[in-house]
Amino acid sequence: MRIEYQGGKTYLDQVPYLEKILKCFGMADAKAAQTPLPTGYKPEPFDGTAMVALRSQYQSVIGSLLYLMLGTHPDLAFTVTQMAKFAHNPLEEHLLKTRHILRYLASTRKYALVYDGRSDAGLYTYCDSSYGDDRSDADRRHQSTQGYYFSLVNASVKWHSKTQTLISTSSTMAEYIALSDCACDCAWYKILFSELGKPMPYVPIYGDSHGAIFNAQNPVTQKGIKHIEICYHYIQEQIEKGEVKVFAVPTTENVADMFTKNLGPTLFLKHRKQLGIEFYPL
Amino acid sequence: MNVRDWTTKDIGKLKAEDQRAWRKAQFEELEALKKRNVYELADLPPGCKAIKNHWVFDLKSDGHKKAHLVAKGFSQIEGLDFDEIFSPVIQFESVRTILALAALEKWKIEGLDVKSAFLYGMLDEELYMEQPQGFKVPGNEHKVLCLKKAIYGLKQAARAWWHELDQSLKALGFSCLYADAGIFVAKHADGTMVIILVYVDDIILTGPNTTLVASKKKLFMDNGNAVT
Repeated sequence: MRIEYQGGKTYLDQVPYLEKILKCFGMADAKAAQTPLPTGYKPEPFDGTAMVALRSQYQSVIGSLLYLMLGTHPDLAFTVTQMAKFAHNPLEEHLLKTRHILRYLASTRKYALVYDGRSDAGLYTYCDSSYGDDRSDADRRHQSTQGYYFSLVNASVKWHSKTQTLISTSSTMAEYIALSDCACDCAWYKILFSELGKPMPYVPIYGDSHGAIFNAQNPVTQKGIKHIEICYHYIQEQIEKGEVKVFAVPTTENVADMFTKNLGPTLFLKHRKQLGIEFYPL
Repeated sequence: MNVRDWTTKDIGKLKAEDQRAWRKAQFEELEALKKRNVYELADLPPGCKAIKNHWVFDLKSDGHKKAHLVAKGFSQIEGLDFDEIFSPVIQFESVRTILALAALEKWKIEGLDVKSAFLYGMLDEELYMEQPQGFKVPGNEHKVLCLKKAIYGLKQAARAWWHELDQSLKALGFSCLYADAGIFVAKHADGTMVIILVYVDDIILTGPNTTLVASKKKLFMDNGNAVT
């Protein structure tokens, strides 16, 4: 990871590593791609058994992409975690789609994660889920995907994208679980900042599901949510204790949307700006 | 074939001139290990088994030839040659969060990295390693090396280094956080503090008081650890 300062901004990138893997996979001069995956693409699992050579090639691409994603690429969080699910049994098509991700990376290689010291924005988080749209499971169970990211000085410091392990019966339930997981990370941030002698009053969470927010703020037992496991009521307790506050935003403004589904270029590029990824002429 | 995959055998197939150059690199490595008191020649006590070792060759981006002597950690026996091997590594999000916090508070950031960090790690166990291939001491070919410090490749190398670093930071008034064991903080009576991020041998220092950060950095570097 490379750290640079310029005009009160901190730039974080992995360009030397990125250049190395682009060269290694023969994509150094690849054609540009606006988004990591083609619009509307949903990967399907492979019923057969993958060839050993293909599998090992796929795993090495995914490994490199995961490292980039975890380091400085919140824009790849959804894409790479989704594609990584097929690492044990990939199709030729999955490998082709990782080429698309590399094309996207090649065209954004001059971008860095920028922490703008001139902004005084504190810590906040956006949380979202997408109900029952996961097709990657070998048994074709329709799980939901959840995602959230934390932002400090207007750039992402932590991101998360994951397929939920249990089946939700409604989008409200999927969102409620996402909020609860997000609250766990809020708690970690609260501990971190109080240990640094900078305690925060509360962490604001932005979500777009009015149903889930209502259920989190009001300990009601409704039909839609009464079967939910106890551990997911963590969000209720955290709100009650005043550790977090949940606010509603319109779906189109919810940046965390890009951590739960494969967005088209318009929304993707709009949300990416909020993550603090900026063009950085080196 | 990548240079890093070469074995001593592959070096033997090269032109005499290249062989000499690699042999020189191997000598340099052994000199460096000697200077750091990593091992001493000893007799293998009866019943003990010496750990095997391996040469790793590397071409640096500036063309410099480098040879590393590494232990074959997989030949170590659990409970005998090593016990605990866990060593904490800072989370990426902690690094980003502290960097963002530094940007927010307009703190200056200092960086340093520790040269051959693992060689600072003191060993709790009594370990013996075979003499390096092609460099056995004449007349003492049957002897082995008794390891004093953790050499690269040992199962406990990372943990031993971590322990050493933890001790030296504690001596400077730092303690690690519960939120992440890779973040060390020294708090001062006047309310200022110095934060240290540790990513194995890469170290970042920051804090509100630039002079204090610089002085802590100097103290750490003077603290017997020849760091750059």
